[in-house]
Amino acid sequence: MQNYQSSRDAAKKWGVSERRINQYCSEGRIPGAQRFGKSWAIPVDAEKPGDPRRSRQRPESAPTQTAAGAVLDHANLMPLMNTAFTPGRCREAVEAMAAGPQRDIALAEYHYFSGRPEEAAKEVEPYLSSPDISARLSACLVYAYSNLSIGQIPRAKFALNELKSSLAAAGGQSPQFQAASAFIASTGAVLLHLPLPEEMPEASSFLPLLPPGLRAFALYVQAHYLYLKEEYAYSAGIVEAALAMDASRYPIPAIYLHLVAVMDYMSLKQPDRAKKHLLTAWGIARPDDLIEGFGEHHGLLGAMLEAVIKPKWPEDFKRIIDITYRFSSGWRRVHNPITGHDVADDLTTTEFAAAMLAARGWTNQEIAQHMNISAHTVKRYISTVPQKLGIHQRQELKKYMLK
Amino acid sequence: MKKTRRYSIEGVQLEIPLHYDELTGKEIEIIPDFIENPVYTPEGCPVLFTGEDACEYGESPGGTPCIDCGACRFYRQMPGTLIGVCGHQQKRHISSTDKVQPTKEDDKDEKTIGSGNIKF
Repeated sequence: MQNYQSSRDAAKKWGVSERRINQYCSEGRIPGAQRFGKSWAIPVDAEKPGDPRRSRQRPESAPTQTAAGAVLDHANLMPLMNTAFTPGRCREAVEAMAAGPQRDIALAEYHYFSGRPEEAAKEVEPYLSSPDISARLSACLVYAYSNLSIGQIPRAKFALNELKSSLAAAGGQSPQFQAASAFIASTGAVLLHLPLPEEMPEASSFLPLLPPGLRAFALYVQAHYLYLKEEYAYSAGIVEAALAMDASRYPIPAIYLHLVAVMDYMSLKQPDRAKKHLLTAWGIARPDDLIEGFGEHHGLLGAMLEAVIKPKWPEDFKRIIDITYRFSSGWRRVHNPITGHDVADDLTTTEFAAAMLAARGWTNQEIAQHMNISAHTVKRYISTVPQKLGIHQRQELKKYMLK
Repeated sequence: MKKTRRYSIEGVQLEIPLHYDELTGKEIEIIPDFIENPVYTPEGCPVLFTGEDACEYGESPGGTPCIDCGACRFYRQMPGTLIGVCGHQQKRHISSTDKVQPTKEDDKDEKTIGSGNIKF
């Protein structure tokens, strides 16, 4: 396996027994170590863990010493996102993880991504003040999004602020610490369409330091960011390249990458390509019920869910729409919309989807064909939406729908 | 009794049904499908929904093709609603023997819209 070594090789290199190596890994003291069955894969650049008794003796006020003493265990950094599991075996992958923070956080991720934010929020709460920075950052991210989905906005804002603070504090720390903070802070900001923190380093400086699954998700974040800047072809290029390489092995990043591809291709008016990506994402997500991403992105998918998922999977579609309402309600309460108008509050999800396409210059006939509804129905939506928003022309939709 | 809103558009009286929208708390006009059930002014100009797909004669003020009636320079939108009148000569509803051939001057015909009294 590329960039990893076996426990035996690490034992030889560090002059300790293989059993000791396994012990380090179980205790989460080797960042990035991954469990494979009964053995461990250890990053080739991992350093031999220091004696924890010595690090405890160090004064807490010395920042570099704190950074060295504090655990930065990549195994606890969004572990499920960083796991290559076979679709349909997500729960098994979680249960195979080492007991402790890794498994607990992975379980919370599983609950969040399968539309159960209440459980996810409870599960990560104990790790919000964990001394392990990876566990703490992961907990903050899951906690922020879960609470946003259940309407606990002060809690979501608290967690988002924690992420920003971690990034601000990462300046003098190790590159791995900075990479983990940058990854989590950018993920927290971009999907909520919040401005990136000023301290955010260039992606090229932290991407190589992330483990492969998280690197794949970071590429999704980059692609989403480019989508927001209306650089659709550039965004789609990143997605296609990421999926062509290693990203498709990691189901959670792969789902999100395919979803951003749907957004890009719908914006580029290439519905066939968009449909292909949506069906691939659905094929990965459905066996484990990982539907949260579909609800989060509904408004940006250009009525693709109505066109593709609704006719064949009506019950799943209903659940996705419930997630959409729940997520977008929290989203608006965190986000400060440029127009100051709560567009999604006023529109049904179908009106929103039709209006999104209309704002992108689709004709009524094209929208009707895409959504499998009559042109008459489209006109009803297109006549209702401007009245609800208090506008008088289709061109004005842009400033409400595309911001 | 169903609530309606009345408009007088270039000599045509329209009664538009209203629907109360719970999400916004607004009375929303249910705009009739003027393609399926055409309505014409006394001059023979079609009354159309602003969001109707542009026809083959549609032109933006800049001379480029437009997406819908609302973006077309021949369309005269009634203030305060999404209904208006198409002023293109080729769209006028007149008998075939009287049909006027379009000229450059006809294309530039931009009448001011009627007073359009809104009654509630």
